[in-house]
Amino acid sequence: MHLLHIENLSVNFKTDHGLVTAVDKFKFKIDPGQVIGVIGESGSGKSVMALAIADLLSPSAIAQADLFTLEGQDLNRMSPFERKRLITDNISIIFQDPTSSLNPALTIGYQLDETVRSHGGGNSRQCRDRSLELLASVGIQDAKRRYKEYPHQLSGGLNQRVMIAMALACKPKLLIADEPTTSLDVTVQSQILDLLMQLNQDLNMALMLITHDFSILSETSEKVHVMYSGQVVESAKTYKLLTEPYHPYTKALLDSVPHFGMHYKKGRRLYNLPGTTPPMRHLPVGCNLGPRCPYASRQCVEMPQLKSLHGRQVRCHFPLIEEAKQESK
Amino acid sequence: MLLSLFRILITALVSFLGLTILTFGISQQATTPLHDYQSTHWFPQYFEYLGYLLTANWGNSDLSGNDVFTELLKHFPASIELLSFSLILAIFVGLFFGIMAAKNRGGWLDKGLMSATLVGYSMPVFWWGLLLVLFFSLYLGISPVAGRIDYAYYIQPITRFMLIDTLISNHNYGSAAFFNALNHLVLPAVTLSWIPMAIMARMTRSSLVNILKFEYIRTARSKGLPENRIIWIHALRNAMQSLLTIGGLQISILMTGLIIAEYIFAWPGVGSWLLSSVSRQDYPSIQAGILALSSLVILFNLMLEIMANYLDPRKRRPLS
Repeated sequence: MHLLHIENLSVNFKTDHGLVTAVDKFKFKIDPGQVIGVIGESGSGKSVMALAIADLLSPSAIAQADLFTLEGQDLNRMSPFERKRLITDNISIIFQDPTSSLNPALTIGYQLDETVRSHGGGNSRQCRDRSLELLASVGIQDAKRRYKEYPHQLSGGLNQRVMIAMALACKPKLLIADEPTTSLDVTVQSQILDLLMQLNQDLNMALMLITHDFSILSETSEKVHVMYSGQVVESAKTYKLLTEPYHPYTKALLDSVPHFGMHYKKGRRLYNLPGTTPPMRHLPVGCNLGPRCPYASRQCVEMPQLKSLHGRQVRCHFPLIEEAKQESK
Repeated sequence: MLLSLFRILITALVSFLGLTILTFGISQQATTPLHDYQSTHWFPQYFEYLGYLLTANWGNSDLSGNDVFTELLKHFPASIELLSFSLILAIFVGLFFGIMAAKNRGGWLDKGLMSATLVGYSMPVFWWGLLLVLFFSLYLGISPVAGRIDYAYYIQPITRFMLIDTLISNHNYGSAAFFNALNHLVLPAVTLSWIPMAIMARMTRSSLVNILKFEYIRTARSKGLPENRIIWIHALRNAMQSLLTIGGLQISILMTGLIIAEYIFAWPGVGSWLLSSVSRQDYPSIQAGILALSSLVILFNLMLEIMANYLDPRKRRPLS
């Protein structure tokens, strides 16, 4: 039994121009203690997908899934209230910008306390003790002082630690980290990632790491889903994906990252995939990557399906198997 | 905290000084000089004037010859009573309507409340007052037309707050006097509070709807907090900032409305006193009335500033 099992999750937004699909048939499985990465450009639907799992979408969004089970319980069969209850008890989510994710008018302690209380934390004294304990567990040294402070008095890294502490208040089985380090310094970034990995091991808490940065996933996650305009285009074990990308988009993403020790000739530029992500309202005919893809041919006017290939999933008519082999030689 | 408190006090003091310069100008228009000034030039005279103001020597009325300060004290409690009632009504009912509308944004309750408030604040005070009198006093007959209490009652003025006097003074009308006074208060207070209430409701709604889109609200939702807690604590706490600013503007609208409402309902307050002084060109009384009402506005804004300062932790700067 998987901790979370989702089949064909689709999210549509009601707009003035009709329904717009933000996430298309997303499949996801995660087991306790597992770390799975989701990577993609801005606008690829990865955040919407995370919000859909955490049941935080705005009322204008319609999320549907063929299968949505959490700890073996079918969420599709539950009332919205029961579903909310089950999700908030088992799944926590942290966001990109920690400082604006915390309420500026309330103290850190107050915000932690109310979270602890809403998950059955007992009387105010017990809540306070638990909050201080949580603050200490995410590596905040002078927890007693920070407890009384406001978010604007703390640095971004500390605020993200507070967010993580708050997420831990409900003893989640799954933590969704939606670009947890994007707004932080590189040094702070590695501290936060270390903290997340440590919590993942100590508490056997599954972690879904959403990012646009391969360097974060390379050291942390077992498996990666690559998303492009609302669809998963490739999912594979991390090291396989990094070494031999099958999908042209994955390859383009990897090629656009500078490598340490890369040989730069004068005038040589880093690879860049021409064009931009298509707007969700005007998707191209056939494969979403079609117009931008250097390998596109006539067959690409048909939408490719997600196929299993060598133990991974690729959505392409012409996976780059030959090329990967040649390059590795 | 202390430093910003000090800064707020200084601002209030400066605006009060500005106000006294204005009233000093008005007092110069009196037919007989208001005070016996030692100096002949206006500039030192102004400081003497300030001294007189502080010692409650505000001059005598041009017409009756009475001391305007005692006249003012006679009328002031009635106005305060009416104002505080309308203010409470405007703030709490407006806040409540705004929250209800924000909670049901896009729904029929939201649309209904918002159209009602739009009608509310596009209607002039005197028109609204007359309509209320027509309906509740003349048609339904459940509310008195004017005054603070029926002539059948004689209440010894002690504090001159009618509601308090009916409770503490020695009379044998029982609780009837209190409820009679309260009944007299309702229509003027509703008339006066209508526009500020409508503005308050609309501002509460719009700032709440805006704040409910913020990321910390999403965080609060992700924690599984109940919707009421999210609105009343997480959103309202942040909306208070702009609401307090709006509240400060409401008081000056209330003041203009006060004069009209007191006139319509023959309410013996500062407003109607000021109005009759204006028509008789009684400058010393005008000066006193303006001084009183404007100081009230300044005082109220001072209170709001201090509250805003307390509510927003980012505004509280440490002394160091």
